[in-house]
Amino acid sequence: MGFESFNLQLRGGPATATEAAGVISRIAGVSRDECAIKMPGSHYYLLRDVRHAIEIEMREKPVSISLRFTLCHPSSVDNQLLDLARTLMRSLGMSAIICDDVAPEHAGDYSLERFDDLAGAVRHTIGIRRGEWRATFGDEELGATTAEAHRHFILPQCQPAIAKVG
Amino acid sequence: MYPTDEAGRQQLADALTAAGLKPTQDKHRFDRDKIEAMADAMSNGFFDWRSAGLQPVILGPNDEVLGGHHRIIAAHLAGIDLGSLPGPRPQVQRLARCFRPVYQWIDVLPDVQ
Repeated sequence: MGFESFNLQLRGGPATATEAAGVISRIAGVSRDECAIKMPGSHYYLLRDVRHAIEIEMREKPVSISLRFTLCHPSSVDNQLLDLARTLMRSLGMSAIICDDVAPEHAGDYSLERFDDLAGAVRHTIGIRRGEWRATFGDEELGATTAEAHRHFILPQCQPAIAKVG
Repeated sequence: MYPTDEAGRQQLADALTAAGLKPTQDKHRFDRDKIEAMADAMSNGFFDWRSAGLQPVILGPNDEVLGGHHRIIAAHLAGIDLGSLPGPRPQVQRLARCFRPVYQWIDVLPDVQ
């Protein structure tokens, strides 16, 4: 989606889609995400605990993994995202790219060897985006999926748009 | 379906600009493969409109695109007006404020292959 979430993408490496799906499925707390906007060729998972919900999309061709959480999350989700990213990068030999409004020095691919740099760039970018979210939607924290964040925070402030779109 | 040359990319940017829509996310957040997959699904009738309605496109007060950039581009490529789709939930909602920087489409659309 975009304005309500932070997105990190993992890509590259030798793993097949079947291998990637297997690694994701074996992570504790991961289940199928039944609420994602489903696209052919992609598989959707949700890593959820009592405070966090990280949405995972695994695309088959080429194999890539998108990790996303909504900006209404408590900041503890930052470490959970980074732990998950490191696990997957290590297991699947992937690199990471921040799919967000990144500063020029934070753009580009990060290999596992540069994980500390990635973590710094991720924290910096999330901090900016989280501040933007809170200035608009308030300080309430919720471990919500994208659909839940829409229902709880965004749609109550919206009206149906009368416009030609597309 | 996504343009394959720079002239086509410029044409797409011009069309989206002429529609009055203004992107608010930078190029790093756009994914050409995702746009193509969505446009294909919309064209062939298997796009997941039910789930999309729970996470609708969000516009700002002056047609700034706050959420749903990929869907808007895909719908344009598929010739679908998201604002007039039938269904239990609107596919486009409007927020009274825009809190994101506005870009030009030509500066953010994914590169051609």
